[in-house]
Amino acid sequence: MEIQGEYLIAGPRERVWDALNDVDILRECIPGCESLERVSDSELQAVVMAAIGPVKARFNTKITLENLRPPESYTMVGESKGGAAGFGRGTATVTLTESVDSTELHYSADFRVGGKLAQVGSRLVLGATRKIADDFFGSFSRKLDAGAVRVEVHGGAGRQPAPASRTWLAIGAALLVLLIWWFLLR
Amino acid sequence: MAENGIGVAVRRKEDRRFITGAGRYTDDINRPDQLYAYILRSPLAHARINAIETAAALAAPGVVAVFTGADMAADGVGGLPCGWGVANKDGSPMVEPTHPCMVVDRVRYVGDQVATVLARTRAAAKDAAELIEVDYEELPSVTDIHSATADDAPLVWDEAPGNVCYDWAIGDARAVDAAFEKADRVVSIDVVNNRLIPNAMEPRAAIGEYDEATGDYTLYTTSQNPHVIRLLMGAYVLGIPEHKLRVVAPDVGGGFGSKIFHYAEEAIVTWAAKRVGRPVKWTADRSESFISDAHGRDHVSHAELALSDEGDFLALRVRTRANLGAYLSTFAPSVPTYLYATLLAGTYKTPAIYAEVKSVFTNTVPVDAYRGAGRPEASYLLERLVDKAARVTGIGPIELRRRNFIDPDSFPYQTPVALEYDTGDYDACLAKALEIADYAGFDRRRKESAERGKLRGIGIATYIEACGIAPSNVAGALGARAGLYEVGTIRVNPTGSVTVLTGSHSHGQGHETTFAQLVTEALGVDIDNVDVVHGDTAKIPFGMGTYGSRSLAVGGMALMAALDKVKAKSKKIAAHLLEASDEDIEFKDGKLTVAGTDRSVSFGEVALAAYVPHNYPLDILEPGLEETAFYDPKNFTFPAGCHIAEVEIDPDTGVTEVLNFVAADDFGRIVNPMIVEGQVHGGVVQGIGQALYEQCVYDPESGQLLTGSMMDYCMPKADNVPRLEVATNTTLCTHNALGVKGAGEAGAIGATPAVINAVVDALSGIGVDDVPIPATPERVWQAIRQAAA
Repeated sequence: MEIQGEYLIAGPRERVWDALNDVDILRECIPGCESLERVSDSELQAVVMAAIGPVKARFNTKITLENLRPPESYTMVGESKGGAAGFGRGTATVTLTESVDSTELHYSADFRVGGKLAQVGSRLVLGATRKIADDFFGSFSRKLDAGAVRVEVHGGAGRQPAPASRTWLAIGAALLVLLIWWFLLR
Repeated sequence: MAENGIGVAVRRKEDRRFITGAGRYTDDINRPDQLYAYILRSPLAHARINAIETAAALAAPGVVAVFTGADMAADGVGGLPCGWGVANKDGSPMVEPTHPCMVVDRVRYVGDQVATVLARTRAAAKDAAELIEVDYEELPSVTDIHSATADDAPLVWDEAPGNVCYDWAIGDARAVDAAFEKADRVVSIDVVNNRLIPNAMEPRAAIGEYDEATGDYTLYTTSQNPHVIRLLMGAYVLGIPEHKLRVVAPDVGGGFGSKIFHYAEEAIVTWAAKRVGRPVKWTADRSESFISDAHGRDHVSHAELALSDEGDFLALRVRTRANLGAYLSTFAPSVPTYLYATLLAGTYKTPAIYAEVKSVFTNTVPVDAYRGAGRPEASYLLERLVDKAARVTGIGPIELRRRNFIDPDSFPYQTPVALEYDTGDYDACLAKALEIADYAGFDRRRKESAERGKLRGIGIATYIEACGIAPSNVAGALGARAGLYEVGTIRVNPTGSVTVLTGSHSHGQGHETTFAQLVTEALGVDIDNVDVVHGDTAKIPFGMGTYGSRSLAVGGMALMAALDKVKAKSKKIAAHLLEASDEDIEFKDGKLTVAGTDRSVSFGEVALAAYVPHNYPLDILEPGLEETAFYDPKNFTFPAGCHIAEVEIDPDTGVTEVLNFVAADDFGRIVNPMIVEGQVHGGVVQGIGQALYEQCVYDPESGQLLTGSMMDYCMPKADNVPRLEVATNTTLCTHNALGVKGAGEAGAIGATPAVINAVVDALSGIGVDDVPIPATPERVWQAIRQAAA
């Protein structure tokens, strides 16, 4: 499954980049996150309780950050295992572009789910992922006390109309979250 | 006719326990000190296993043991055997890969067995399984027939180039080619037979037990054929001789073929029970059923029909590719070959037929027999093709069929594809169905629908099936690795009640009633004094089980043969008691009478004399009254019929509603019309399900099963089905004394093509000449839109 999206985040690019790399902020903003730790400069490990449709499980997720080009872009490669609930695996690329008074975050991810998650939840994964991303950005924006506007999110199945613009603080963390999620979800 | 004898709609004796919740299914059985098994299954479609780390699982609370394929291999456990070999066109054998109960180093479908955890509770076993670390190295996978046969397709088995299991053919290719050259017209069609997931109401379950004192094993399992499981598991997998292995298949909640096969879990629990010295129980949950019960159908075919200008069928040429899944399930190779292509004559006198079948391996759940097993695939293809020919030639669906039906006076009829039909009257079934469906009034109803903006269609399908499988010598010549007779025992108890022991297994068919009716008819014993026992190798002498609509035609005939022996012996006993010659004894209505006199004894008195032989011809007759018979049928039986579906389509939504459904079937003699009607209802609903709703979907890239629950796999529901009109037109089977043919699968065979023909008929007026199956609202809507564009 492919999904991509853009968020407009108030604040300079460096600040967004830093927040995206702040493990404490991420941990508090990722829905269901039970733990998130930095294993090395380029590796994160997370445990997230997640539910997609009827599948609810604790997902152990490993994320490796690659092609780090602060504060412009990076790639996340992730794998998430939910035991009997199945697994997810994917790659996401996050790009931050400077804009007037704000930062434009663009992400594009390609991920797969397997096991029970595919058998009973595959229809729901894309929608659930989007919701989780939105939840994350909501929390994230409140956390940073700033505003972000989601410009557009669309998946591989076709363009989804952008929802009424809401104020969110979004960060590449979006990506992270998404990634974690997808991986989790898987 | 006896009060509750043959032909009477006796209420099912077994239903009291079923509807009061008193049935005893495998999962209802609990053995002292039992452990619960959880099977860890592959989450990947295809992968190499580099390592399996089980230490953490073994240390988890409540866990007693964790086993992998390596443990079974180290114990010398064999693979699951395949019960039917099919040869390639050149006579070489099919590719027959190993089928381990648990994999050793490679998984080949999502659901493949990887490890087994035994724990004190089911939950503990399941939790511990999460702690098993499997190091998978994912490999490219292939799940559908097109991809599997592509040039660069990933290989499921290294020993099967092109993923081909076998490339088989039947019929006279040269005669067919010659007929096509002379044909006035050729009509061709491409059809898919959609892959189905069986979904019996009761998920599979198994309990293994080992008695160290005696060395006896017991397996309780959800099986349609416990003796076959004993044979396969005992001889090929675990190396347990028959006398040390008891297999019990208690009440079973539906099978539809999916519980014929010998599954890995049966061997795992039996083997593990000895390893740990405690009974081991495994019960599938519904999700597990989706990825571990053998699936059904899954064909892609191209067929061509050569016709004369007058509409005579001259020849049929069929090319089919069938998906067998990742491993060969017990009877998988026979389904797309001998149970399919031999039925391509259908009800028609097509003089030349040639069919090629290439069966392929894919990274999917193994595919095997499912209600109808090959015959629904044949009927679907043929009846879609005939309907298309009727439309293209303008001859019309009734006239074209009538023109080509095998005449009632030309039986026995040898088809060009191996079978010899014994009897039938296809036009009589067609005529009956047309009448009940009020075919003549259809145009009026179509107009009325059109006034409401709806598209109405009517579809006809005839079918024939080969049931009562099978004459053992014929089946053996075709590759079957077992005999296909049946066994029955009539045990007359001292007080005159009767215990019937049958190798047939009842999992919804109502044998406890139907077989009791045979006894009542033959011996005059009250039906309440007849008990039918089945499903236990310790109680039943032998048996081959229930599938292919064979229970009555083969199992019932074994009972008839045993009843004949009982009657003959009873006459001898009565002759002694009445001081007459046994040739003069008449056995009727439970009384044995000296012909032409009023001197008689009751059957109860005869039974008592047999067991208390104080006044008994001990010099010429053994005491006791119990007889066993093995019955091997002389031919298949050939139920046939005509189904008519009438549908209405909403062009705005693509939703198809089945408004009327008529089944006019020839099942030979009917023992219990109520049970037969119920069988037809169930089969028709399954056929409608295949036509409109059910579709197994794998993700082509990842090989993941996407329809792994009833949220995504759409089963037909009560509100999808109209009132079903069921009628019969009987011609008697000529080669069994009962004249019976079998009724278990017919509904699922005739209904699918009838419904799709009706959908195509409804859409033909707006330029649609084909719809994909299942004809879901989205697909119908798309077809309508494309035609309009």
